[in-house]
Amino acid sequence: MRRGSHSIRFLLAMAVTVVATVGGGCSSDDSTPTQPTGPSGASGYTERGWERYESGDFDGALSDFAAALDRDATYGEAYAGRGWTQLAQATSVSAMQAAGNSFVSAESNGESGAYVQVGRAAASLGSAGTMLATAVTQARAALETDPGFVFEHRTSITAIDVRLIEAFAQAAQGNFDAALIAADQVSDSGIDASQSATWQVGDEVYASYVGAVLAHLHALSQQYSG
Amino acid sequence: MRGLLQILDAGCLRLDVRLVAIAWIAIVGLSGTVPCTAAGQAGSGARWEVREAHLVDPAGKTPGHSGVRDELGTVDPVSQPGQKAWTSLLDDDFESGFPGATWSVRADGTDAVWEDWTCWSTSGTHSVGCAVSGSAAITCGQDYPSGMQSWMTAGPFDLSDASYLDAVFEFYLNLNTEPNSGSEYRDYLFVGASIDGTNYNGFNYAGTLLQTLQLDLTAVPVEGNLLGEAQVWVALVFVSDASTNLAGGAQIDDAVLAVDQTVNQVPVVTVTDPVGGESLTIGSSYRISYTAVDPDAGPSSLGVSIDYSTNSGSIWTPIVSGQPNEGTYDWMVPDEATTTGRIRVRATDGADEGEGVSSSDFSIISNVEPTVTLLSPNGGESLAANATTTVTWTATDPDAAPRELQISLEYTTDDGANWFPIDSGLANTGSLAWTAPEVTTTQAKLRISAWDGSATAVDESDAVFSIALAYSDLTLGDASGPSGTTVTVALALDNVADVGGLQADLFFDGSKAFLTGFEAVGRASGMAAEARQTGENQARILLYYDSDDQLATGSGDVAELEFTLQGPGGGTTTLQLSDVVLSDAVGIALPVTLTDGELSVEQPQDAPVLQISVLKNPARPRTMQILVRVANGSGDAPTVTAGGANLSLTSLGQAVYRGEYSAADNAATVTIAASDTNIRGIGNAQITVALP
Repeated sequence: MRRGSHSIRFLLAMAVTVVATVGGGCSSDDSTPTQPTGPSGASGYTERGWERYESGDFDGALSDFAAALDRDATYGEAYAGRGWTQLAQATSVSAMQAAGNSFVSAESNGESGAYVQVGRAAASLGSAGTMLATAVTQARAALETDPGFVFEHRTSITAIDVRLIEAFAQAAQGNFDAALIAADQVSDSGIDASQSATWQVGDEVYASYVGAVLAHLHALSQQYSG
Repeated sequence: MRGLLQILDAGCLRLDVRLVAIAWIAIVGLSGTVPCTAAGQAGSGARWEVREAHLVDPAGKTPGHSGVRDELGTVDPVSQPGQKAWTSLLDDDFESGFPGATWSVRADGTDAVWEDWTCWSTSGTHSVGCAVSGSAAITCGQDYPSGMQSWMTAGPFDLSDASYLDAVFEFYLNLNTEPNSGSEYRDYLFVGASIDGTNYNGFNYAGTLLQTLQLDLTAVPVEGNLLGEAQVWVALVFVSDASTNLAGGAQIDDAVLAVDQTVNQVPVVTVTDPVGGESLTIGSSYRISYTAVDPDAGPSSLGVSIDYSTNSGSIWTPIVSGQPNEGTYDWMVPDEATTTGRIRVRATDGADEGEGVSSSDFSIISNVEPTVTLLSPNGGESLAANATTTVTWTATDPDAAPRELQISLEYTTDDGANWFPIDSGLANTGSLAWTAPEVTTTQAKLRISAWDGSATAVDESDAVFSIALAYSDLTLGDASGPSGTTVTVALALDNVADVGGLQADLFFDGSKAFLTGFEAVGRASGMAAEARQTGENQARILLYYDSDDQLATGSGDVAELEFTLQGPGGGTTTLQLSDVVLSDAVGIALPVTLTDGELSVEQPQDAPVLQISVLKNPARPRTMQILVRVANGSGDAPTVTAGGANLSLTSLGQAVYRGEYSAADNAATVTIAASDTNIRGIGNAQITVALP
């Protein structure tokens, strides 16, 4: 991930802009006002795209990531930024699939790291169908890359969410044993398939093991997802 | 002279310096070349000299030289086997007449020639003197005549034998001549050897000398080593000038030409079987055993020949020859009955042959054939494949010879068209535990052979018997119950062999039931049980031991399967076993028959119960997976709505269905509702989820 000091660089750019504006104001009262200097390359547009993503300006972020890719179609980080922005705006399976494609492009252009894998896992979970297995694979890969994952541009997304992605993707495939194992990494349910007395979530006792697992996943979703 | 004396290297000539030169000797070379001189001194004024010399017989070979060879026996010490030994090619003590066939004599000059006399000797009574015969002959004490060249030669001798290591011409000399004067030799005795009978090379002796002299035939002047030469002559020539003659001149006694060679050792052979007393059966194979050792391991490796005799060794008949020395030979005993049999083993090392013979007589007798009877299975039996049965027989050999009976067993599954070995070389124990082959046949037989080392008796089953595969039985039970309830189905196993594990696929109608549990019970309660639904309509079950334990042969329930019934009721589904692998103790699959079970789903007793789980995507909570589980359901997918819209559902099995939903960005909540209907009524569930 090519990021790091872009926030500091942004502050410096703002300071330069302020100095330039102040300086311009002092030099001549009738001169044309100086315009702020914008990003000049893929890196610059990508940095500003992340800033806009962090501020919730997803349309602006998408525009910057697109501008970055206009200047350098091989700039992998811009694809990743576009993917995370698409993910934040998705309201359909097709939108999730588009986000997933952006993360695939990021990887194919050399961008790597847990944040790309997490993004791809989340997009795959939203794409359902055959992409559920990919969601499991990418979530596990992300946790192997960075067990203490925290998404830099949205710190509310952590390793807990990655485990939930895996658990939900397993459940969505009917793999309830595997789903429970992943979910218990977030919060131990105490559910044991061979002991019906453990088929309890909160105060409610379930007549089946699968019912208890689904209730546990639902509770985790309400607690951690959004 | 008897006995070769130790000689020392004195330069060009080896002389026995332990003997004392008794007078001053001067030796003069006739040829004028004096390449080497050896000298010694014993006492004041005593002196002798010897020099190399070349002397040509002016008359060439004399008739007596050609083709003459003496075989005069060996010289002391007597050689021991394997040791270096001296063998005399010439050994003459001059006591039996001279010149005889050994020597040739001739005078070239004054007519005085060598002849034996009794004036002096070192052993016996005779020696030979240089001028004892001829018109100018002398008598005891007289001076030799002037102008002599008296020859005494012997040969040719064959020194080409590769085993010869050394060769020497030795004699005892009594010399009394005019001494030399400086480099001039006047009267002297020449001692030399020749390879052509004409040109002799050797040494001249002059002066007074009484001792043994040796001419080393491996270091003859000019000629060098004469070993390897096929013809070698030796000569003693007495020469005198025109004046100053002394009494006797040269007298010779005990002349020997000896070669040194290594004596070959004879191989030593011992027959160790038969040694006598044995009874060998006609027509049988008898293993002759022997040891053959060549002490000096040469000149060639041992070759062995074996003979037999039926008359204690008076007449031998060859069995085999040119065999390597292997210590044994399997002999087919001939049809020649006798009580005086012997075996002879001969071993040759290429030079000598040694032999060994049975130490006493053995017998050759006629064989009495054995008999054998197969007792069981003898026809009509029904055997289980892969199961053990006992084969029994009786076999006898009246003469118990030539060896103990050996039993071989075979079986056929096609009434004798093809036979397959069971075992061979068995002791005649009368029974054998046999595992019938994994075949099904009604045309089986056994065949038995009894071999006494010479003859074979055979018997087989009087009639065919049958072999049938032994199957284990795996049976699923039946169960029934209302839709929405859980029922238990028994899995029974009747195994005819110990079992290590079981794997099976189970097929059923997933709309009517799904597998919710699997547990080992009863006699298999120590086994691990695993099961999982591998599809909507199928599951796989596993029973196995974590240890080396085995499920012993037996019958009864081994597991219980738990199914949850679903659907509207009133139907059945077959529980069908497939791809069953029942493993024995070593992992080999056992044949097994399968019996399917059945589930009957009765009408539900209650209305459907639905459970909704909403799994929001952690990265985009407005998109979510909606999972709906139905108990007592209709068997069809329930109706599910989210935000008022119907969801398309996918069955995950176990009465769980999945749908996806994405909420609009401005929605604060979303309500999901699910319903299903059965004969007992409608079941509903509803949940409202808050959105970020």
